[in-house]
Amino acid sequence: MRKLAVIMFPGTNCENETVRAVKATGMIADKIRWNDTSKLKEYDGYVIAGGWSYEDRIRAGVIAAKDKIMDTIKEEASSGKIVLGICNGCQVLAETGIIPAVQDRIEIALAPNINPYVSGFYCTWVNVKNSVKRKTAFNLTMEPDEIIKIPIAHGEGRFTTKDQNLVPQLLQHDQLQFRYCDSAGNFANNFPINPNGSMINIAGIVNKEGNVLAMMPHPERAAWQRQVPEEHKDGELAGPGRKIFESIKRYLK
Amino acid sequence: MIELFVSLKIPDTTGITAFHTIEKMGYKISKLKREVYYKFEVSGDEKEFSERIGKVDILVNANKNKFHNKLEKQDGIFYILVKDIDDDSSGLLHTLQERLGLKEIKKMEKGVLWAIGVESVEIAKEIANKLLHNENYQSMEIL
Repeated sequence: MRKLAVIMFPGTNCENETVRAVKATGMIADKIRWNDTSKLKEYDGYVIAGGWSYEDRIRAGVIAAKDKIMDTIKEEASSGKIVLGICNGCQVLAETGIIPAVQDRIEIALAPNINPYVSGFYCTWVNVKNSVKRKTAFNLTMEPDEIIKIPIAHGEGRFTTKDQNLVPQLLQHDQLQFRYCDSAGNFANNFPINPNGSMINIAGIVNKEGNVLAMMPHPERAAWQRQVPEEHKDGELAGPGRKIFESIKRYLK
Repeated sequence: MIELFVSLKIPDTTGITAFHTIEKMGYKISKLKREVYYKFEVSGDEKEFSERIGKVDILVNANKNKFHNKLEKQDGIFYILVKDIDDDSSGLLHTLQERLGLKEIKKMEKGVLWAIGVESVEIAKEIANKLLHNENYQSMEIL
C-alpha cells in the first residue's frame, strides 16, 4: 500500500484532516515532524500541511523553508516523488524555490492578500479550474477544465513575482494547475472570483515534471460532501477536494 | 519628515527565530534587533508631532513597546529596511487621520528595520536576500 508523509512544522494545524483525507483514498498517511528525517525516504510522497509554521515569523513559510527536512524533500522531489504543499505548505514550497522551478532561484512570493473589503486573513469558498492541458500527478481524476469548489483560508495567498517573463513561461510550460474562476469557469480577475488578487487568478502551480504542486486552497477540507456548502445530500460521499488525493493514489500505482 | 522606530520591551520571538535561523544557515552573527519603522510627512510643527506620535497606542503600546525617533548607528551593525512594495499604508493612514485626528499627516510609509551584526555589508545583503526579504513583493535597502 502506498504511503504519504504529512509533514508538520511547529505551528502546522491541518495535519489531522490531511491525514484523514489521504486515508480516505486507501493510502497510508503518517504525521512526520520537521525534526525527524530518519524514515522520510521510505515514503512515496509528502504533503506539507497548512497552518502557521513558526508563527509566520519574518514571513509566511520562510523559516520552514530553511529547515533541513526541506533539503530531503527537495532531493526526493527531484527523483520523482510526489510533493503537495497546501496553504502554508504552498508558502513553504514557494520559499524553497521548488515551485515553480523555471529557474534555480526563488521566483515567486505569496504576498499579503489584496481584497477590497477585508484586510488580512480571509476565509471563504471559491471555485478553481483544472487549468493545465496535460496530466499531472494531481489531476488524473479530473476532466480538462473541470471546476471544483474548495475553501481558502489565508492572509498571504497572492501569487506574485517581479519577473515579467515568469507568467508567459508558466503558461508555456503548462504549470498553472489551478486558477480561481467563477462557477461557469471564467477567469474574471476581480473580487470575489479572485479572492486575494493573485496574478492571473493563480491558485496552484505545478512543476514542469508534474510531481510537485503548491496550492493555496484546502482540498482536505473538501474531502467529503458534508464539508461542502449546498452538497450535503449524501455527506459520506467523496467531496471535490478528494479528487486530488485520489489522483495521487492513481499516479503512485 | 519624522521617523518612528518601534521595538518590543518583551522578548521578540520573531527576532530570536531569525537569529537562530541565520546561525543555522551557517552565518556568524553577533546581534539581531528588529524594529517596526514608520516615516511620516507632516504639516506644522514636527517636534510637537514627534512627541504626539509616540503616544499613539495603535503604533506604540506602552505596555510592551518602546520607541525612538532617530536611528543611532553602531559600528559593525548593518541596518536593513524591508518594505512591502504594494503596501501604501493607506488603511493605517486613514485611521490615524480620521479616527485619531492626526490630520497633519500628509503621507506615511511603513517597514521593518533589521539591525544585524555580521562581518560585512555584503554578508548582510546576502542574509537579507536569502531570509529577510522576498524580492518578488518586497523592497530592501541598507540604511
